[in-house]
Amino acid sequence: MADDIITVEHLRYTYQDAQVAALDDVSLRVPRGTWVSVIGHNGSGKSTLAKNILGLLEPDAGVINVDGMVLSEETVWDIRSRVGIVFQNPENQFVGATVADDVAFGLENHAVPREEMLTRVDDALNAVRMREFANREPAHLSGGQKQRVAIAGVVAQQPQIIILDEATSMLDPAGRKEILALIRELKDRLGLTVLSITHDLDEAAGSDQLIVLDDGHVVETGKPSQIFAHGTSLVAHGLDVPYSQQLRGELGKLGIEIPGDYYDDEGLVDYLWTLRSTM
Amino acid sequence: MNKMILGRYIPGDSFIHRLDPRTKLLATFYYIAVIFLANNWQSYLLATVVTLAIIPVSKVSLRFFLNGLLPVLFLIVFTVLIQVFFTTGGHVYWHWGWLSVTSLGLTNAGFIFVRLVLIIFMSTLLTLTTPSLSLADAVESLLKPLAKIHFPVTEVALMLSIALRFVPTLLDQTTKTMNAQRARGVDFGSGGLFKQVKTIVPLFIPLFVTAFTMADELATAMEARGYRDGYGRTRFRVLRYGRGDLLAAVVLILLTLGLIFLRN
Amino acid sequence: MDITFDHVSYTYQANTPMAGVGLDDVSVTIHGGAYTAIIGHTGSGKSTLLQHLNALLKPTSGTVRIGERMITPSTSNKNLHPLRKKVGMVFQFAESQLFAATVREDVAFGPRNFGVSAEDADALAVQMVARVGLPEDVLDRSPFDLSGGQMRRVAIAGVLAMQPEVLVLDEPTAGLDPAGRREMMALFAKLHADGQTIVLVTHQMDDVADFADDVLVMDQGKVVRQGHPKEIFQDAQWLLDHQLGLPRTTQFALRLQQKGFKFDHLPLTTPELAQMLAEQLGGARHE
Repeated sequence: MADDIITVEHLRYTYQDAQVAALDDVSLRVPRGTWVSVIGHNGSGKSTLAKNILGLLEPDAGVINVDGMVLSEETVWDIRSRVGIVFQNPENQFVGATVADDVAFGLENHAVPREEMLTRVDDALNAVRMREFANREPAHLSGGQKQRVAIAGVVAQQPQIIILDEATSMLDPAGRKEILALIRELKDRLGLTVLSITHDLDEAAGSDQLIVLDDGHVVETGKPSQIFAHGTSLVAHGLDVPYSQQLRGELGKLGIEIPGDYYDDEGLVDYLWTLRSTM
Repeated sequence: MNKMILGRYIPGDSFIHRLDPRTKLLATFYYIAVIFLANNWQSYLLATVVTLAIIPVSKVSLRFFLNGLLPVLFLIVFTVLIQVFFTTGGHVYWHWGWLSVTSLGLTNAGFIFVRLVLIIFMSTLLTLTTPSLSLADAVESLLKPLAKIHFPVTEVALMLSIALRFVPTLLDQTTKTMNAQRARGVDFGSGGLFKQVKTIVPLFIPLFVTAFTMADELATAMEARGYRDGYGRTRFRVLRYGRGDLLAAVVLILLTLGLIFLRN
Repeated sequence: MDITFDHVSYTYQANTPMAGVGLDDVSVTIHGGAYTAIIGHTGSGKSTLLQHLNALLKPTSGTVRIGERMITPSTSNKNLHPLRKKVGMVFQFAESQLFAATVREDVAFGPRNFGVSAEDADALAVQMVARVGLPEDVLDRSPFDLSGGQMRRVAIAGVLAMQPEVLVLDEPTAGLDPAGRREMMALFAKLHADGQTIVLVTHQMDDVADFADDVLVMDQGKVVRQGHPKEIFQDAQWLLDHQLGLPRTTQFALRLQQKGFKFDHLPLTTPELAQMLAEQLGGARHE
């Protein structure tokens, strides 16, 4: 328990003029070095959660702890320097007039000396393979490229945690795949903790832990295999069933019952092949 | 609209492109002032020769400079005609009421024509070779002394650079919204005034809504990345004068001396 | 009503150094009554093609025939009204076109522009809001008070209210969550079942497999293939080479094939694959 990099306890948040709380008694833990996904339909409160963790919204009640610091007015800037976030809309988070300017924006805010800034911007652009675009203007970049620049901005900041707030939901499938592969690579190389907020089950399937949010409540927490094992509840929460589970369901209708809790795609392929070989 | 605001900058790596934007900005203002020293054909010839010699250094085709004249063509023609018909002095070629064409009028008109064209060429040179962002940097740097009297120079500069950065985004959104409303039967730019005004609502309300969302999300993103106004920031983008800037200054001084020497 | 492209090319910013090819010698027919999907990666010319369907763009060369109407490079921008009414266009993130004070007014806006009386336009608004699955009480609310998914439905109702013969949908499910996406696709399927011609631009190959009966594949401004999804997705390797995805089922079947399963053709939908597997594994369940 000592090594939970984020803990949220009994968090409640209500938007101005709203009758019901967007988040109600939400508690969760993110162990250091893991990939945790918060999944839920649009309006389930998942983005509100991310904004609370960064102190961008002020909770009605509850305690948030990030990297050993309790979130408060005094610690919020320290916390923001340790947490990088990539938002949903590639266009509306691009502050700089050029790629390099945008990557440098966070560093300027944290008063990093210029000499150090130059190397950190360059390294970060290299890490996301956007170095040759350093002087490009955002108007000449695709959505996927803009998201890579946003990631470079996070990397340059050298944070402990990266939060993806539906960072891939506005990209085409190719762009989505690319961004996820990049985050995975950076997580391993830089020893980051990833908190991903998403409604894409393919994205969530690779995480260490899933937290299902519905109407501002945590309704389920567990490993993907545990949660995917009873897929029907995911549909009830406005989500999808993983493909392998859908296929199992269809096979079941035809009388082929597959025992066990959950198989991912690869597991199911193996199982089916074994089944065929033993015939 | 696109062409007026954005299409001006022509990327390149010429001597003029590489000059410090502050130099280019100050030089353009200085040039506009100093050209008023010219008052006879010799001095105008010198100014013309120098200007026409500078233009090719930018490696931008002369066509773009001539295009730069188009938006102000009416103004030039109007000014020249006023000079032709209303200046009196010297030999009178034609006369009707208080309109007359005189030798002095024609000479003055010629001088004014050359002066206007040269001024437009030089300011076009500035905008063709300097991205708007660099111009914003130059303005910020030149205004820096104002910070002493608590004018928020850096905040204004950041605002300006963000505004410039979002111009293409908003233009893009304008095109999209116009297309969407066209598809719903709106005719932009046709019909009487009343009909025209009515088409503004379905265009501008969606644009305002989008712009507000954009501003809101951008502000959140900036805050998340540690931006707090009035708090000490370091700067990534800095301007440095180089050897070329010195050379540019020398050329301007020589031009000034030449004009003083040649003028009446 | 068919829409036929005959050797259509379109160049962006023609006659400037920045000229770029949008469409390159496209000859293709979109059939009335069909559910046509247009696929291709970003920048392949899909949206340029789309904007020719209701003459928002005119070809640089070639002709587009929309029903009885011919659009050529020299067609005047006037009198395009009847066309815009026949081909309804739902753009990406269509909710950003809403502007009126109430949902009712916004949905009635299109018909009003086409000369429908206020009364009839209002009746259409009521009918279409119901058709897109929104409750009646949203009619007199501001569209800006609704959720993102509901706003998208209002925008679609606004296009349906024009009673177009062809409904063009540009990535209509982008940004929606899985439930929202399912409901949206079910809505279009129902419209198609009621006789609506549909043109869908999408990156979601599952939707193509599940709903379309004709597919256009675009690459570098050309229509490189056209056919039924069953034919198009058989050539899985070709699609992958062109950076296009496959339906989940087809992907899964490919993995099974690599393992050693044999299929006489690649399946597109989950029930189809389950059926094929059941035939091969039939004996297993009697153990």
